Amino acid sequence: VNSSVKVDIWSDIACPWCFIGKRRFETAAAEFAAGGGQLEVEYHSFELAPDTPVDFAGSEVDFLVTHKGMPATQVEQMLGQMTQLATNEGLSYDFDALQHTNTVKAHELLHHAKANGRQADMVERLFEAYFEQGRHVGRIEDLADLAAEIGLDRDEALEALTASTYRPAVDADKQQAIAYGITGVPFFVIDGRMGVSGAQDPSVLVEALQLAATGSDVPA
Amino acid sequence: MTDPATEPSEPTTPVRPLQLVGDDDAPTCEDGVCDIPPR
Repeated sequence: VNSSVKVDIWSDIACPWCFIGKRRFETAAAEFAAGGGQLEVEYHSFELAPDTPVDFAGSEVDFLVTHKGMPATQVEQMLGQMTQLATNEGLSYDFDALQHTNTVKAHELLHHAKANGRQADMVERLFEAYFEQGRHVGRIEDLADLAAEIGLDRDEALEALTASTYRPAVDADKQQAIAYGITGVPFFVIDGRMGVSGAQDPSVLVEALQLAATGSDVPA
Repeated sequence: MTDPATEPSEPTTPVRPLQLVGDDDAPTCEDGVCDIPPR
């Protein structure tokens, strides 16, 4: 039995289902660990809307109405339901305060954090900053502040973001997603052979982790 | 001659087809739009 399992998670910061999916995965991971399993978790970059300007002037409703052509009433209903669902997961989404932006620099920061052994903390900080605190996650000065808030060196983060040091790593993640056929996030690749798409119930993730740990195939 | 700007900056690791687990219709975000949660 191989009880150590690698989980690769593709997500975007500007993805409400990804933060919810993260919480559900954490519930599954805790159950798996309670049974003696060990996990190695790595987050990968996926840009849902790479054409979004860094300084998008407008609300989340504005973005979905003007850029995606959704009716405003449908968007408002959707965000309301999403906020309620997030509450059920212990999250406090604030779409009124949210600052819609391009997330490529946030992804670069995640790779910088990974290189410094702090990716897990950076993912969590970026999600809560974006969805719960109305913080800007597109501008490099704001991102450097967030890096410092988890204990990374602010100047080093700023330098990496300014130089786009980790843009190749972001691009490589995006190519890897294409190779897997991933079109939506969150998406969990477990043991490099199983895929779990979307913010699924923790029980689904536990099942996949246990199958991976025992080297079993997915039942037909 | 290949334009380096069009090439992936790092090689993509070859992958085998994934065995999908769970609900095919679980909510995701795709192309900037997210599935609407149930009431």
